[in-house]
Amino acid sequence: MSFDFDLSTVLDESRVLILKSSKKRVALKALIDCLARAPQVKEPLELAEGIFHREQLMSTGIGMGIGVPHVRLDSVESPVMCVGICRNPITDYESLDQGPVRLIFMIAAGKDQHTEYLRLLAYVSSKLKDERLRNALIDAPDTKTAYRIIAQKDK
Amino acid sequence: MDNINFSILFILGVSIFGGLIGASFFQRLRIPQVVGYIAIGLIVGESGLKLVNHSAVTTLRPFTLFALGIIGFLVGGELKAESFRKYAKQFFAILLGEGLGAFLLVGIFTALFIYHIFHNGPAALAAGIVFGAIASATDPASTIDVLWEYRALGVLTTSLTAIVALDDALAMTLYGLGTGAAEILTGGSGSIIAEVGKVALSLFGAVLLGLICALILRLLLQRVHQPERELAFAVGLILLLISVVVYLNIDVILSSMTLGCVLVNMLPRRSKDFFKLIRSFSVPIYVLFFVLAGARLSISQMPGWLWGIVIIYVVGRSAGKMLGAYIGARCTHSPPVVRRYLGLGLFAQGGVAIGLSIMASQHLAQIMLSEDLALGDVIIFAVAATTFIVQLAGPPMVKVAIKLSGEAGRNITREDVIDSWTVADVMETGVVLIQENEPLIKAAQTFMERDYLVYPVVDRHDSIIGVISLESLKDVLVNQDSWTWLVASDIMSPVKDRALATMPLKDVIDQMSELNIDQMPVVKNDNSNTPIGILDRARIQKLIDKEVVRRQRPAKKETE
Repeated sequence: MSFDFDLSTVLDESRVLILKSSKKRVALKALIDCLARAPQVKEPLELAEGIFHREQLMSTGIGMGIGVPHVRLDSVESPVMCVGICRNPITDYESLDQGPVRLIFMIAAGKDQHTEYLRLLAYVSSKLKDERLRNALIDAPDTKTAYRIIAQKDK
Repeated sequence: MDNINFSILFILGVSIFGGLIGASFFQRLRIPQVVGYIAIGLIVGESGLKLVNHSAVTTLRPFTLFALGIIGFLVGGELKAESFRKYAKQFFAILLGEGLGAFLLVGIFTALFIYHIFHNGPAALAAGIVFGAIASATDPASTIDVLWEYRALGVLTTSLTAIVALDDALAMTLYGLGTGAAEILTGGSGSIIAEVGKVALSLFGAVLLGLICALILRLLLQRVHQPERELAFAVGLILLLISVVVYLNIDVILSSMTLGCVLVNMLPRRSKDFFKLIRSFSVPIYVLFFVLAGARLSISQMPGWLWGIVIIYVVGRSAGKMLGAYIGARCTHSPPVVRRYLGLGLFAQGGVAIGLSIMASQHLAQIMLSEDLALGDVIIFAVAATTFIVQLAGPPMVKVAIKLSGEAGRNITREDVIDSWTVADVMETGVVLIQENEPLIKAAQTFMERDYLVYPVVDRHDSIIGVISLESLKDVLVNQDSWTWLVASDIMSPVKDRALATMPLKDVIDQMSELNIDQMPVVKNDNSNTPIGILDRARIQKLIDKEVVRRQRPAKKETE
């Protein structure tokens, strides 16, 4: 199985944010607000509930400074993503490796889009294994550059 | 004109509607439905209310012929070459045994009885021969109806089908020989050779016409692929065949049987659904046929001593068929179930016997037993009365035979199994619950350690929220790094509906198809969300297949 993914269908530049807060809740809230504006998301409140419920079950900090909060909801039409670059490391994320989180990829998909959803999760986690890419993203001066880095690598 | 139309339509309605009501009443008493049809016929016919009188039965004769044609066609469809090849020797021996057994016992004792009453040697001998020949016939229609009703399958069922289908030809041959001999014995102008020639020509003609129609129908079936048109073509062709054989005065049932038999053997796969289609269309025709058969019988007009012949005929015929079938089966080393029970299934008597008795009454009209009683009339009365008795006793005996042999209820399909099951019969019970926050690596461990293919996912209140199957694990198989940070709820399929253990399986399978899901949890009751089991489509299919094989497996008695 290849993790190749047409990123343009799930992410655009407007959904790449530079985050200043070092608090998980604040950062997630900002990303939820951003993702809720995507046309694929029909119920912002449900999105917020779903994301926080999933975090309650188990933290989505997967290590290497990455957080992948994700949720499947009836009110999402197709897979969609937004990216947060944390200028200040988030220390209360409770990651698997206990380290701070610097990059957050928030993903939402429809309840029936099981395969696409898992493929997007796999794509993100495998792509971010590249340390140079992670560092380039963390150091990106603005969202435009960050988006280009994500998109470029994708080609 | 309107009155005639009204009365015919009324009779058709009363016969079919009443027949079905009668059948359901008798079915409740565990008596084959065909007895119910005939009983209703007796009530509404000559012996009872006379709503359907003799002239109505005569008016409806074309319907009876059409029914015989459809019945013959369906019986022919049961005669597959493979079973013939396998059991040809046995069938032939049993056929000769039961046919000649009934012929000899009925013939000898009827002749002695008539001689005892009238002291007329040649007439007694002639009567014996004709009664014997008529006694050798078995009614395929009611016998096969019972076999279908009780979904019989096995070597006894195959043998019964073949023998009841073939012994009409034997009866007609014996009849041809018998009436020829009888006419000579009584000083008539007949000759055995001429009679045998006539019968041979009639049998050959029936087979030839059936064969020609089968070839035409095959051609049509290969070109037409719409069930409705196939049905219409077949019905049209059967009607044409019947009209020709009636015009040529040859046997309807034998010709339509040839049509069915040749077709099923030329297009074994293609014709499977086709015969199913014809069978589904045949129910009202069947009902009408048997109701009219019952209505035709007039038991009140019989002279007292005739009951002596009736008793001798019924007892002799039953004993002859049982003994002859046993000897035939024994000589050819047939399976024990055939030896023991086949004779029991051969009592029914129908159209062919009545037809032969009518022919005999014409052939032997000049033979007088006494001054005012012709042998022909005695034969008509006696055969009508015996038909009444054996037609009521015969089908239940077929049922007894297939029940004793263990072949009843074995001709089952997947649909039958599904209809007989509830959710409780196929659900996985004792399934381990997976919590929604359980890391995937732990959930995968559950799959490895246990045999189930699917597990319910529950929230912290143990309420079901989804299911995880092997299929859902497959999606994350290549990305095993994610197993540490994904949880059960990330990969589960959300619950779209739930089933109760008491629900009919068919409804739930339909529901799963409609929702396009492979698994469905089972909960205790409408108010509970706690799973007590889970349904998995693949497992359900496997269990159904297994059950079909189990129910079709030969009963112990067959292989003893």
